[in-house]
Amino acid sequence: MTKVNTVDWQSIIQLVSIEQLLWITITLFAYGLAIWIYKYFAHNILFHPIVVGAILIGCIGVVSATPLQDYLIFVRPINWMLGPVTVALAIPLYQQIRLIYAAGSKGLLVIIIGGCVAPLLAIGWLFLFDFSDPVKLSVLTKSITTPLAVDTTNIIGGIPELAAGVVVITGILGVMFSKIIFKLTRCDDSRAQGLALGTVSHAIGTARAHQIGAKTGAFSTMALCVNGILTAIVLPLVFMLFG
Amino acid sequence: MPRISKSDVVNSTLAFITLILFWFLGFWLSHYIALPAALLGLLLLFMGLLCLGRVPKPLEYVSQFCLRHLSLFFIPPLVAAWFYAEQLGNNLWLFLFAIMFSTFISLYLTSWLGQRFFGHSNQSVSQDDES
Repeated sequence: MTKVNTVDWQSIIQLVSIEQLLWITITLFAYGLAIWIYKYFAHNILFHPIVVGAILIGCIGVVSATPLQDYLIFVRPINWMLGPVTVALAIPLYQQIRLIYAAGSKGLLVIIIGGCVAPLLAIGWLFLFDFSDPVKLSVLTKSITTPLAVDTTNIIGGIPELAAGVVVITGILGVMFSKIIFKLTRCDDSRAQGLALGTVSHAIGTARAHQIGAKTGAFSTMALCVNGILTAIVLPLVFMLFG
Repeated sequence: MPRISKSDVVNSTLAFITLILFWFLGFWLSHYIALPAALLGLLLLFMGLLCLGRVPKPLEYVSQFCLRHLSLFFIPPLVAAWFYAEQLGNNLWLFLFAIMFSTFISLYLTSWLGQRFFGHSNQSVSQDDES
């Protein structure tokens, strides 16, 4: 009689563990709750869903005595989805292409200067003190959107998780500062505001720009895409040539 | 609220699979070019859209949905960042200060420069584009 190998469903199902499903659900739930809280506080930047969501997860983690390492392993599928979602940035980039032409070389110059100054200042400051190299390198991607920052930091030898934290903090600080700074620089042009927010504060700044107005949001989206792509291309190249 | 039909679901699924497919293309290409896989996928899709000359509706819808909820994906990394923040110890404040002042100065510079370039010529770009 020929022996038939049966499919071992038991072990296939075990690939997706209960804990994994549980923690992904908890993360989704925390995110949903964080959005609700954000709306409740009239989109106050201090209650940004990322911050509130992370605090909620932190609390649940502490209460249930789940080690951080375990949590990160459980929610790894969320990280996998980040790749395809980053690819989705191609669509706003394509839709704003007319705007890139319209803003022209001046707009590009603003983005490039902003995109260079922020990371160089940060890393310059860190060089004055005793920080390890991976920590220093993790601030270079501070002004670009997290998915690109994580990948780029990986390539240049930084710490991706730290870089992600730096990116989020930069985004929130940028939005907090923007009100005062726009007053200081007497910046009232929607294009200039959009460019500044998108270049420095990436996706978090763009969300704020959309609140200011449609035109500001469009320019911010454009700046976010251009700065993100340029930084993600230039940094690995620089490290390949001089690293 | 618009009703969601069966074909909408199918189209959205296909659009999402398109995104995954382009990510895989980028991943494959990243073995030859030392750039982030997601970035290569993004550029490939961008070139694809340039060739196509328009954005298919389901793809636009799915990408808007994904980008609106981008924050979700940043929650685990931010939780993980806390782990590193603890390791930095006393240097944490120096580290945070670096982020703070570089953000302030670069935002100041970009808004000042932007205002100088665009502030007094409101006619040159007249399209209000919310797409």
